Amino acid sequence: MELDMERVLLSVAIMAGVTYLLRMLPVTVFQKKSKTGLSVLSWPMYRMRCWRR
Amino acid sequence: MQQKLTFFKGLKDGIPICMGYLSVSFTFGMMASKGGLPLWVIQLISMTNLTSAGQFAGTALVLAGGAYLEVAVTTLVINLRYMLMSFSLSQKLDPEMPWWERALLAFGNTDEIFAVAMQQTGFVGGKYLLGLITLPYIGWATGTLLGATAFGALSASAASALNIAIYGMFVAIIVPPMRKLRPVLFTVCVSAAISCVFRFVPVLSKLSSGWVIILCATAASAWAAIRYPVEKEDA
Repeated sequence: MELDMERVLLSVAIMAGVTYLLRMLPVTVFQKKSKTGLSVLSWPMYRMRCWRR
Repeated sequence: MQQKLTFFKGLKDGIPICMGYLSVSFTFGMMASKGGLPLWVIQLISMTNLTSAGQFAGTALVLAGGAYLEVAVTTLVINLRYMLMSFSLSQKLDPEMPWWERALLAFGNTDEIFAVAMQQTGFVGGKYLLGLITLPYIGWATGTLLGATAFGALSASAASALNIAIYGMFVAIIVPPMRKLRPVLFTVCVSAAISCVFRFVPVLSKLSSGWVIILCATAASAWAAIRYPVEKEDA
């Protein structure tokens, strides 16, 4: 089957863009010390990933 | 004594992550090559996404002719956890770090890099983080290249067996803090228990892995925050 390269490249750009925005926005927008408990989400989330792989 | 977080310390800390990434991206390279994608596109995917599950699922969708919206939503759901990780990382980064440096380094915020960065004492600076990201990024790109070019030379079962390396890397990263800190140990256990519920309860098992990760993380974190409140904040 012949691949439509334009579609493939646009899809790759969408994947990369969505992934980057998810990573970049919180880091740049929330530069000040948070008073909420958001940071406590870190460790368990990392661990859950190990179980789901 | 607190070790200085230099670029070279970051490079050193990134070596085990790099080794793990080599094997996983090797499998990705093989999978994408088997699907008929040109080598340069496969390489482009790895070098612009730097994510395992999201990249695998997204590429499979691309190969199956999935719609743009489908690719976007799938990537969003699978990678939503990065948002929570970045929230945490934003509090760990040196407050003096300019926004553009944060924006650049955020690209390398993977599960493993995040975990290692969060284990450091005090704030994490740009040089350390850059060092930490460098080798895993090279490993991810190199593994993809090797996998894509070696397609056909290895059997599918041998290639999938390479994935075991990622578990070895996870164990190496997770076990030391678990042994040192009881709250971490119990939080891991609670997370695992909740994950098992989502895996084995018929209705819940239908939920996508991206949502399950987020729900389990949020529930276990809430439990840990209530059970082990932080008396005095330190970064």
